[in-house]
Amino acid sequence: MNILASYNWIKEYVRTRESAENFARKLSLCGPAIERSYPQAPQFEKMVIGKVLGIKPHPNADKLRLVRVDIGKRKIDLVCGGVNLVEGMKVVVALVGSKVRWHGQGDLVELQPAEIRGVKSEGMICAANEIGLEDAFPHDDKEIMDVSWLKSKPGAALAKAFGLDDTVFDIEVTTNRPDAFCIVGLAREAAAILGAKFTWKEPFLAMPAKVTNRPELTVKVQAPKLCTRYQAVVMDKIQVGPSPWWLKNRLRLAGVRPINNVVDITNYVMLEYGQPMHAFDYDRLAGHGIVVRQAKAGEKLLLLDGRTVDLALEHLVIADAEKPVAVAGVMGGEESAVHADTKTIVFEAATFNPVSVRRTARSLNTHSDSSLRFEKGLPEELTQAALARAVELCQEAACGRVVSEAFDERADKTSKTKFPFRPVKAEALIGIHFPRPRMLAILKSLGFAVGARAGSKNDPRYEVTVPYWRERDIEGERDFAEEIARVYGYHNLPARLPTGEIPVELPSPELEIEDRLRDLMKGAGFTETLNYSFVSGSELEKCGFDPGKLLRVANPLSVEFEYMRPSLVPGMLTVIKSNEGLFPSGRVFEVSNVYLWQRGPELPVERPQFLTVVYDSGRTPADAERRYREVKGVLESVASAVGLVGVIMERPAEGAIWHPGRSAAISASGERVGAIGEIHPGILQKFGIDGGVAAMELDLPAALAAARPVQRYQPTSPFPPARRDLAFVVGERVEYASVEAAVRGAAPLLKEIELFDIYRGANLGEGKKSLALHLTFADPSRTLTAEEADAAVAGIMKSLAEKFGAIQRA
Amino acid sequence: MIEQLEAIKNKTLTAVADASDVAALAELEIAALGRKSEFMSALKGLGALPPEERKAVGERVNAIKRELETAFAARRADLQTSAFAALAETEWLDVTMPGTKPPEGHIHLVNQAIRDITEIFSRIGFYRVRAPEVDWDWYAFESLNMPSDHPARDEWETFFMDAPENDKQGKMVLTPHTSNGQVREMERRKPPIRMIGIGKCYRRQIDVSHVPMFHQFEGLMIDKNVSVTHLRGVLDYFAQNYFGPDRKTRLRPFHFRFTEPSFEVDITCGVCHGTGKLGDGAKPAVSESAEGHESAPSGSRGVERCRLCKDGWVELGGAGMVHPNVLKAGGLDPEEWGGFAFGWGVERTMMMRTGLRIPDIREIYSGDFRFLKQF
Repeated sequence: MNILASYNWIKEYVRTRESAENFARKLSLCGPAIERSYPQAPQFEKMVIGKVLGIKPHPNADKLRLVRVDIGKRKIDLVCGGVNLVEGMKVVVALVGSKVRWHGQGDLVELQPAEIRGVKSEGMICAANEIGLEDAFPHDDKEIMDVSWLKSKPGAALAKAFGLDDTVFDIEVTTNRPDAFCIVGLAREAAAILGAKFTWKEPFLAMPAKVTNRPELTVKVQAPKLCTRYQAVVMDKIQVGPSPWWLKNRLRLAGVRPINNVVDITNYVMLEYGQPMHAFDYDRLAGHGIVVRQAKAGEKLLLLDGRTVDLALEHLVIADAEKPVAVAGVMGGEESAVHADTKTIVFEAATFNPVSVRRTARSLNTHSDSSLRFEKGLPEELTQAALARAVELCQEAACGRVVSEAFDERADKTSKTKFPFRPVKAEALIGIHFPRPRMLAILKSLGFAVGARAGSKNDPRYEVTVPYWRERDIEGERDFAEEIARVYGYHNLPARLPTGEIPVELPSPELEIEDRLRDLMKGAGFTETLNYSFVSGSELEKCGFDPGKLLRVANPLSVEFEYMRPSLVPGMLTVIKSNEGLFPSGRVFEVSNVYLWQRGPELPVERPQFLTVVYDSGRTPADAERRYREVKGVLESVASAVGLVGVIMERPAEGAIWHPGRSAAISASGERVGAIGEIHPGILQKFGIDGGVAAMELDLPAALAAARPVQRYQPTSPFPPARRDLAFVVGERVEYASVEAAVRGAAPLLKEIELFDIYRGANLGEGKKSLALHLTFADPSRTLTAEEADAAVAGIMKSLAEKFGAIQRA
Repeated sequence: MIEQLEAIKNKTLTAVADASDVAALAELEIAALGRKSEFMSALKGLGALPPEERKAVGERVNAIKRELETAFAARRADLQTSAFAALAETEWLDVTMPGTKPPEGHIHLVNQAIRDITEIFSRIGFYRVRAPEVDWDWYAFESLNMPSDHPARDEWETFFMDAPENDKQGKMVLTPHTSNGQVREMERRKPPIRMIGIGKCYRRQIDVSHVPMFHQFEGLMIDKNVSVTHLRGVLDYFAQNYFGPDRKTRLRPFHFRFTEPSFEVDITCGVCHGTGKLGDGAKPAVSESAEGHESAPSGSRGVERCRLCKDGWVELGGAGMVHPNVLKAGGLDPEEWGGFAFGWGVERTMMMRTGLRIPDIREIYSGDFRFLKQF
């Protein structure tokens, strides 16, 4: 959570002379991170306060006048068209070289010496919108800015006169530190980090002197678990109006819009102390009563932001005798708010349960500066000081006076939180030795109270009391070590590689195989894609999956990302479709998990899968055969890399995605490990893919289980092998695997067999194909004669003729 | 007979001297000394000689044969030498022709990065694991010291599964970080633990700098006497190996529920070399934008503030010392064991290393071959 904080404001509570730049750097390294700095003064450079000495008509222009202005060291003449100019008025003079926005429009322009209708002008008298202050000083067109209210003398630099010789920091405060999410908290951090003096003193509410006609008010907390403290005070003689500039300016720099003095004060206290506040118009509270209670069904409230919300039991509200007047900790109601005619107010400073505020803000979809702070958890002790500060400011800026007791409804005070602190333990965590006094001094500088030493001299122990503003984030002894180390500076710690035992852990076979597949596929010319784990219901349906049975995201980003994919295929087909225009053919793969769920209160099984595809625009059987043989080639490479043995194809593959005539299930060592084949044309049609897609899918855990990756030495033979080629014609649907089995069965000396050509042609006749084989024969104990090799081929051919009616080709 | 052979020899020597290239010479050699040559047929007469002459004639014949062979060898060497000397003239290739490409495949950019990261950590004893992506609330949040309804959970835009709750472990979620692997690893094996867990994570956001699925790498070390200085050592080791030996890291305070203390890790900027400024004449890392109120810290022209970093440092990611409650959730005694953890985005870390400025991170998961084939 980020806060915009004025450096001047912080410096009210910490005595430091660091430049804004150094302050930002040091704080960021040891505490809240200052993400950006916005110096304010540069925009007002070469602008000074001037006093109008005399006004004369312009000789050549009706609407312009010549103005003599005292700017301290000298008096200058300016041309000005401001309609509200009067003698004696203090004005903003922009001198040559300053940057202004002409009439509040366009880009900043650097002022040049100018002659306006024949009269020289050394600068200009500015309107508020020309120097970026129109929000704080709204004005009519043609009106220049009247700053007569300023105490500054003519010639004073504008930035200084306006309190804008300042730097605004954009600071990220971590959510566990709402105490530092305010000016005082930042000053406290800065004091500890810079070793500077923290000058804030907790204010106390002064009880009113005798007041006659004391206004009646009752305060009741009916939900003490949700509202752990409620403080209120009544003030009368309020004059509602705009806040003085210094107050407005502080709010402005913090990015908060000034409204009126009373509301501005509540915001000022929130920014300064971190305690949200609210002000009610006393006369608009029915029955002059305040009840903190849960809302009743059917109650409604018109909020300050103009929306009406329906309230329910789970919402905590502030109500008067009749109805809700504010949503506790979130936003006030319009009706009971401070209006221009308000004379008497009730200031509220309360502590609400963080979880309740968070849920309420969420359910009403109403988030405010107030709910942001309450959600993080604020201490009950903070309300007193905040209320006192508000009263103090009110007396300064709105003339009110306290006319009631300080109402204080709270649950029993809890005892202070204390933890033991063992410096030796802290040093072990941080990794370096600290002088003890240094450690204790850091803790004290942050507001911790350190008790007397106990334990031995070498291993002392202290009882440390947590200050109220840190009660929520300090959870134990270890936090003390953290505070010491960060204030010392993590960046000052040395870097050391850990010593100690290196754990023995064998590499995970799944992760290993995934990486090996990637290398293999890259070498084979395939491109890896990584698709989202989510798929849409429509992609699933197109592939024949029933989305109703699959694991669904309850809060998907969109229907595209609704289901956890049970297969890599749908995503891959989408990728092919999106690429085929520019890449009419492709070789792609993915290695990722799929999610298989049994619909019970059990996690899905996450199984890594390997999917590879070859696609192109060819639609003939020969194209399909070529694509199939490519993915089959991948399977063979993978099988040998992984150690898959006894790989067999059983047609067809299971599942609607596969072409029933051109696919097979893959088994190895008797286990089903995947599927291979052409994607069903009907599915391609649904994805709008024009060509054909061959795919091979391996379930990696199954493949690993079936793998026998043992490498054995095979003696090399000194006897040369005999090689023969054989070509023969068989029927189209004779499977190669049966041919190979027959060949091997007929020739015990056969060592290797390789299909090197498949040919079809009119000369063979319809429904016929020619297969051509390289055959290698060898005997480990002797050289084969040519006659033996020829006889083996003849035996093979005889067997093929018998089994398949094969006819040898010449 | 000798005369006949001498005549053949002389004729052959002349022919050898005249042979114009190696091929012609080889042909000539076969013709002169091959099985069917005149010389060999002349030798057939040798058997007809009386034995007392045979020896002397035989010696003479061998001498002639050797002489011829030597002549062939010498001539062959000559011819080869001159042929090689003339190669530049006689043989030529267009060396500017494009090559025939070997198959060119591509491993996904993110998987390349995962491999590099794994490899560096493995050198200092960290082994790779992978935790579930769909996991119980217990592992993703609760065991990490984030009870339900804790506001810290809001920072993770979590996807929930449409599945029944588990009685003990709560809702089924898509893990928003790899930290769900911390307690799982403590359950899986005994310390010492040096784990690098890499896997997919999911958060409910998608725009130019966010994708709903991304990768993180999670370092977890559990041992006795582990301190912040060791975390610094490991982070420096990684940063220097991955980003370059001149890079350094630093820790700044931050807050996470599952570590205590927690840090934000910065690394020196690779563009301005940690100075925060771009020297004279150097172009700013990013073109000047008009909206910033930032002004150059010094007045001198030509020195620009580096736009990639803050004062020379770039944010890498979060880290911290494992919270005692997390150790307890993993069944370890925090008085005995301690450790550190860090979990960073693979995509972000990778882009910081290579200086790849991918303007829209969604492109990484678009499956667009024009993207995938670049890496």
